[in-house]
Amino acid sequence: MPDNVVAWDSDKSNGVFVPVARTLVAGAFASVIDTNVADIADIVPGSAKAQGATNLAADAGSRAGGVPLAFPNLFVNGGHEQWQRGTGAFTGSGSYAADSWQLAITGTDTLSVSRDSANADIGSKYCSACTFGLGSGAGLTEYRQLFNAATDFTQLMGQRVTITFRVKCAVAGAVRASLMVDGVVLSNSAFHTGSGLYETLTVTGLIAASGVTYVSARVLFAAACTAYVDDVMGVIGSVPSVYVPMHPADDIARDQRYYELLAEAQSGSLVLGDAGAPATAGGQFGRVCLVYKVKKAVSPTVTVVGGWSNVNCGTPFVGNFDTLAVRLATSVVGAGAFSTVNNGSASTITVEANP
Amino acid sequence: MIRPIAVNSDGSVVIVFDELGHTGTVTPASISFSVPDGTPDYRTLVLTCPDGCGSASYHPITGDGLCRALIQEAFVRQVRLKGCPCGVATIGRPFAVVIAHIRSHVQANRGNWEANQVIA
Repeated sequence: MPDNVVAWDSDKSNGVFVPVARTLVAGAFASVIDTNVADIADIVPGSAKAQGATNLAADAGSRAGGVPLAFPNLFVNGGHEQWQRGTGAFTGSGSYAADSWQLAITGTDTLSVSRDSANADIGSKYCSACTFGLGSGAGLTEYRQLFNAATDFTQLMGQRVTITFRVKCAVAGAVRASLMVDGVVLSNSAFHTGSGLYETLTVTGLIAASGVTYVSARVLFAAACTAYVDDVMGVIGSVPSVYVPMHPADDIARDQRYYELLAEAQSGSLVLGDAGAPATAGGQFGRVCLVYKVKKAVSPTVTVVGGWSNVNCGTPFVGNFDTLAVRLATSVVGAGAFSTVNNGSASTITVEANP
Repeated sequence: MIRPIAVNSDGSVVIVFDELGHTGTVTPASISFSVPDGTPDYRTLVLTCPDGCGSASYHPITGDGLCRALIQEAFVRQVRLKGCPCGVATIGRPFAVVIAHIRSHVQANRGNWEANQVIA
């Protein structure tokens, strides 16, 4: 809560927050309070996003003189800035492209997603470039982020959520935003107009208070096009919020709750060796414990990507693992020194706890 | 991740390897439980890339990490073919028995059972 606000009276069913009492503060924030609605929109980061500014103005008006706030984003990697799996192209249904953003392809449709900087939204470094080919999908192919038990989504139960996607596309009627709960569409936005510019696609809906398995926030593709998706913002309440970027350190840490590389591929930084105590016979094991940078949301799947350089031992294998650490092991061939190193072109270890 | 996209009735698993783009089918003989300390661990199934690249994914019995229902089904079919390393469910037990057995393991490991409709 801002320092100048003593209390908020909030009605989460319609997202209106009303300051019950407040005191003026010095400096820039005071100027916000004293500025009219149009000016408020102008000083918010990303103000060139006209639709966002319009929403903010409406928001501010609805608060009967309250102060528009930037709310915490419900999304992981809403800015599409983090691409731990590489830059693409990613084409398989079920695969992930930008961190936490998944392709779900229907029928004979095709969807290829790559990291793109040339078409990123204002203030953004990267976006997702989505090249879509229509087959038999009938408008159901999607690029989505899931909220479920793995994302502690119970905090959304009984809440109204509002989600905005920034989308650029030159084909009318090809792309729209959608909110789905347990396979049932809760809300679809209007289609992008095909202006060739970034537009804000907004969806809102009330999540049931119980019995929900998952929520999917997604972009749907209905006609062949290339669309650029960027700066996705999700908030509690019925009023959209402009996208506010996270600090990169916080952004990547949030991503790593669901996907983590234990080392860069081919870095040679993962080494399992005898450490000065050579094996006395074949069949012995070398072991090491690797602790994740971030605790995983659920028990993960651990993948040893091959191509390791092995001396007197085998490619490492996974012993035990949990949400915090993995035990890596290698089987020694014969007596003497041994080592295995991730020197190969793709060799690394990935830890995935996707929703 | 070496990610299942289908589990066949013979216990083989059709996969796609996201990191390297490999695809193929892992035969039942190539699927194993992990062996962390010389003893197979009933909680982890190892899918090795059929491309021969030397990569392997270690999937928890909960199926968490992605493809929850498919991983749980792969566990069921492996246990039916080879028995459960825990020693309780032996080779060839009826599907209903094996499903109940794996489901109990999943729930004991704080997972959500999702494979019923896939196997039925």
